[in-house]
Amino acid sequence: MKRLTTFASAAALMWLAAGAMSAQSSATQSATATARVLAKIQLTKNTDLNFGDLVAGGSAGTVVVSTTGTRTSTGGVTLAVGTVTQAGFTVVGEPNKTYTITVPASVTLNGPGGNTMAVNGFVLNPTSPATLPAGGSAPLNIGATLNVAANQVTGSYSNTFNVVVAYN
Amino acid sequence: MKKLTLGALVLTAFGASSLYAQSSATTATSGSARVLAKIQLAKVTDLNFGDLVAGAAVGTVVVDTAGARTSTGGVSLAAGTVSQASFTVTGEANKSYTITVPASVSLVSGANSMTVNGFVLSPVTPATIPASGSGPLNIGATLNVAASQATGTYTAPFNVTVAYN
Repeated sequence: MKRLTTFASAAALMWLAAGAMSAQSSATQSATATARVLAKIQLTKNTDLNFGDLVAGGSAGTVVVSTTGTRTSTGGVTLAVGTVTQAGFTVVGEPNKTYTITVPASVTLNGPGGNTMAVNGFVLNPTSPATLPAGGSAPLNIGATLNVAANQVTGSYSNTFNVVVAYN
Repeated sequence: MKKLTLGALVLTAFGASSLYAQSSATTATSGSARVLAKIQLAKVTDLNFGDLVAGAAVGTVVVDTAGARTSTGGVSLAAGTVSQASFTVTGEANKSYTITVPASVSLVSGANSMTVNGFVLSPVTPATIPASGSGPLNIGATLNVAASQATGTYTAPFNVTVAYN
């Protein structure tokens, strides 16, 4: 009898244990929520884009300033000595973060008497999209092409243009 | 178990012989029970608000249940990986269940913090496990960004619970 009772108790306990295990009516999982706040991206101008001095010829031509400030000409344009610079900037922001650089497709320089010249063919160093170095700061240099008409009217031509850097 | 059954039968026989008067009656009836498939939750992706830039004014970043991201106020969004929290719920086909998420979670980066709240669910709760016995669960939320929030990576775990009703 004693022996039987013991067996019965054990059996009942097993039933209870089995019942508890099969009664999984809920489940919980942990997930992670993450957000990264970046250092602001900033652009500081160091030099303006300057095509320098030139003489227009009897035929159309161009003046090209590279991203390193090197100047060449084509067509009827003759170059004259003087200050020439690419547009130079410093980009500061989140280290190792990618950013895009946006420049105009073309800019019209305004000169005397309503005369104009078009600047286009902007070139970038680094090219877009670029990545900020580990130090979080990098140079950005921009060159372009100036289109000079035959017998372009003498004078100083200028305009402003926008350069935009963005994390997207 | 076999041995136990035999022992019980012997005991019953003894009892019957000493108490011959019928003191009990048994009527057949039907009992039913349904053993459900366990409900289970498996994480597929974590909730990631991605990269952003804090502005001079407070703002928010909202990630919806499809992982689409929008901002309000002074916050600017930056490109990068963004995802809703997503899970797979597995259990008894066609069974209703509830989904529980926190009211708010505090993301921390060193001594700085940001609050995540406004959790949104797809499906909404209570939901029903599809006929296939398995379905997706997607969770979005709102990140609250302070004016000039300190830069850094903010993170925290949070629990999601599914339970049969």
